[in-house]
Amino acid sequence: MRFTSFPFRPAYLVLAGLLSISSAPTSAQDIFSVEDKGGLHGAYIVPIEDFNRVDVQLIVLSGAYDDPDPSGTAHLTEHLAAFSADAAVLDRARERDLNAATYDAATIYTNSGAPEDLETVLRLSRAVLDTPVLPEGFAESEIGIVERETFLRERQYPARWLKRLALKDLYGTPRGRASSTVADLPNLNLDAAYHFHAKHYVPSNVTVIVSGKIDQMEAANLVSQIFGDTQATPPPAKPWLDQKPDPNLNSVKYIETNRLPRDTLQFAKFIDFKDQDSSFDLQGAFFLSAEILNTRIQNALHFDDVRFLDVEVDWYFAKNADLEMSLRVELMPGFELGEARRRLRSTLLLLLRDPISAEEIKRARQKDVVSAQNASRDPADIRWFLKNLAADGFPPFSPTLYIDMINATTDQEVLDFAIKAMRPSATATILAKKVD
Amino acid sequence: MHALLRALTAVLLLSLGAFSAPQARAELIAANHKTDTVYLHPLRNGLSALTLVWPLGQVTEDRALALQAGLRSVLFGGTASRSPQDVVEYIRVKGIRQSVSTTRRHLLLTITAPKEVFPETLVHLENLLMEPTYTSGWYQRERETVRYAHATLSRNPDDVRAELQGYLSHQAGEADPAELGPTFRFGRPSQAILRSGDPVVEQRLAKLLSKLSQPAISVRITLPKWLESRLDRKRFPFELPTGTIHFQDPTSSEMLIILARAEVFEDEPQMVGANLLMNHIGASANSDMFRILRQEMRASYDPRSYFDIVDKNRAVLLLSATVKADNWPRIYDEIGEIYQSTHSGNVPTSILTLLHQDAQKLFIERFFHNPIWSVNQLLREFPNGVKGNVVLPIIDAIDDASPRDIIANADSHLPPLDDYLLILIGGGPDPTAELRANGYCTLPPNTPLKHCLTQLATVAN
Repeated sequence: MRFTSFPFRPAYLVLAGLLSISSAPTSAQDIFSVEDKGGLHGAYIVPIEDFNRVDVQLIVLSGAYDDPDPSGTAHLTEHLAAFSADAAVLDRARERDLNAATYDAATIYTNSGAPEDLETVLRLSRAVLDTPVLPEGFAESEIGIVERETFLRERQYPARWLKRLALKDLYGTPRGRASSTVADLPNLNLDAAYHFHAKHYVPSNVTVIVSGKIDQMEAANLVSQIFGDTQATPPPAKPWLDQKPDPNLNSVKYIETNRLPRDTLQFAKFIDFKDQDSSFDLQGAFFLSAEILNTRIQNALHFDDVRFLDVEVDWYFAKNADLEMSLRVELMPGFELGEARRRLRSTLLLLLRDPISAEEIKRARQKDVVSAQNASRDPADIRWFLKNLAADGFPPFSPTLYIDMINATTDQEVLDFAIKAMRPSATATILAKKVD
Repeated sequence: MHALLRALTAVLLLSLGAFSAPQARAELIAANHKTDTVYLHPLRNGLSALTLVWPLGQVTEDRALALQAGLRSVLFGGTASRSPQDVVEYIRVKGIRQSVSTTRRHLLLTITAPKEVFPETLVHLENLLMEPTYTSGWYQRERETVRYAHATLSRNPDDVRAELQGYLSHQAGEADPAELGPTFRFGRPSQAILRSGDPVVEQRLAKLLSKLSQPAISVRITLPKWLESRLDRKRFPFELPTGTIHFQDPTSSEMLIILARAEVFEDEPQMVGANLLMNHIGASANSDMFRILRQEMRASYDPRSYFDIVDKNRAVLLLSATVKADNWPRIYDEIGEIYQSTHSGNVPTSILTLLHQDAQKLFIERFFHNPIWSVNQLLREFPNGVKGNVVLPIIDAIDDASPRDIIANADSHLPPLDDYLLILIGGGPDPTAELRANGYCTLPPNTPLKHCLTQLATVAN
């Protein structure tokens, strides 16, 4: 029996056209740099025939880590710039997707639409760089919206709060790589936000990536036309890149909280790659090493010990080659936090007791390649790939180029990176006990 | 007649209670008839997908979650020839994705993988289903993984939606401990829904299905349509109580306001009309809730509406906003005014036309890229399987919807506001006597919404 509901219906004649387009859903995604890009830090075109849409990601290379006092200023600026850009370009209700988000080291505006909307979508992106102009009272009241959003996220994603606590202990400061998002809410103000916009939303601190069903030359011409008048200026300083914890730090803190669903262990570790100025050439080794180390951690804490409910490991490799690892484990009922910490500690100490084998590296390579191939099937995943390295100011990597990078990385590079990542360094641990 | 209905229900559930020989203490979940295989259009993203469907019967929420945990344990807990680590390494190296979910009537396993590895994916699946070796500890962890997050803790509308759908989908009451595992085996499914187009895959699937166990008792009863319909109504009352559920947190600066209604529609056009009207109320940045509550009143970051289709012509309509605690009574009133405005047909035709076009595009996009969503569409219409070429009525309804007619008849598409349940989670003043008049329940901390839903329903009855 076959379920074929579509061939007889007029609405699906349109579909038939789409089907032929999407017959090769994992075609290669080449990346072309736009030469006439004005003062932009970078501008790139990524033609992708597989999806009938176009996406423009405008990446401001400053985010929450660049917050002045008060924390949250980058976030408020994101809101103001997004609404101002809408008001400046749209003369009717929005019909395109808008997505703006403030990350640690970047703020990213994503405007999407049908291929024929490319010029409008680019103009919306360009307007983000103009000083925000909003109706009287609107900008001031947006502070209240940011407050609502912050409280909402804090409640819905307690893991963020827990990670923030660990990073504060790790870096010994509530600013920069750590933050005081909630405590600083009463101090959020427009002056700081406009100042942040003037300082950070400058062309030299901005990368534009255009991807989707576009003609390369036509898209490049439009980018030149819309961004070509921008002037290069010195990019803003990044003081957070100089934040280094005491290498001998081994902070352990016990807290009680009613925010969490169960007892949780949060761990953070900082690794200083002192002999490196940039992380760019180490990206392949970073991704493969992280894959191998994550697998070993999962094996020890998840597969071999059912008292650990879930293990989440995040790695952040900053542009200056500072490496930060965050690990969070939730515990099954009855598993003591102190015992869990001892188990985690011994796991990390002994993680490389058995040398990494060639087979492990081969497997990690396979997994990364397959993951990139799967990402090619979905526009959102492709956008994530494109912005991942670009958010640090590097050229973007598509899934196709990522696979090339992974395949070009040698086993020795992976081994060296993993050993450096796991050597003793500054750590901070939070033992969070759930109470009612 | 009631006695007859109970007797027939009991016979139908026999298939879920049978035990298999190889693992004496394992409960076999299997259909008592040959699996119906359904072939849907291949996906358009280079992936193939297979969904195995087991009948869930009339079970409690605990039992449904236990079965999900059991199936997850089978998928990830290892086999006679592969450790859990090996299983996960294999699925990652091959790009396989596995998902376990339930509908009101079914337990579903959907497995997706790139076309080129799908034949061997089915071999892997066969290995998992035939030789599971998960431990009790592993199963207990899966139980913890699948349990609902308490909405009182997360204050997340998504968690409220999940709890409401759980309440509406399963029988009230506690499960017998004997029904909660730890050991399940999953044998012959009632349906297998394949999206591949590859003859090799079809052959491999037939081989897999033939190997899966079925209960020792093989009874199949075909009921007349009228009786099936009657049984269905009896087994699945689809209603939320009215009144107010209140979780008070005096320390909180925020209040989550939820208005929810479980609605049974006459037919698909009625439901599609309601869906579009709810989208106009709060589903996007174009919506009234976003425009008024966020952009004009500056009262909430996340005001929005949801339209969760749970079964054929059955949906949960939901409005939500998280607001400053002291301000919640005013925003609650405003949400009511926004709803009444749309209910009375105050909707620009141009906007509803745009929403209609979006709904058509979204349906097509999801059908060709989201196998779980597509299977749910099919199972809602044909829960017991189907033969021959079929067209889903929902597709006609979406195609034929007339924004002008929907606006003109808005009050017949949307239920009255008084029929909604109010859920308040957070700080701020207590609800007024008027809001307590239709029923009021104070929710204790770390307690599921079901506690109050049951209490309000009992009082109402």
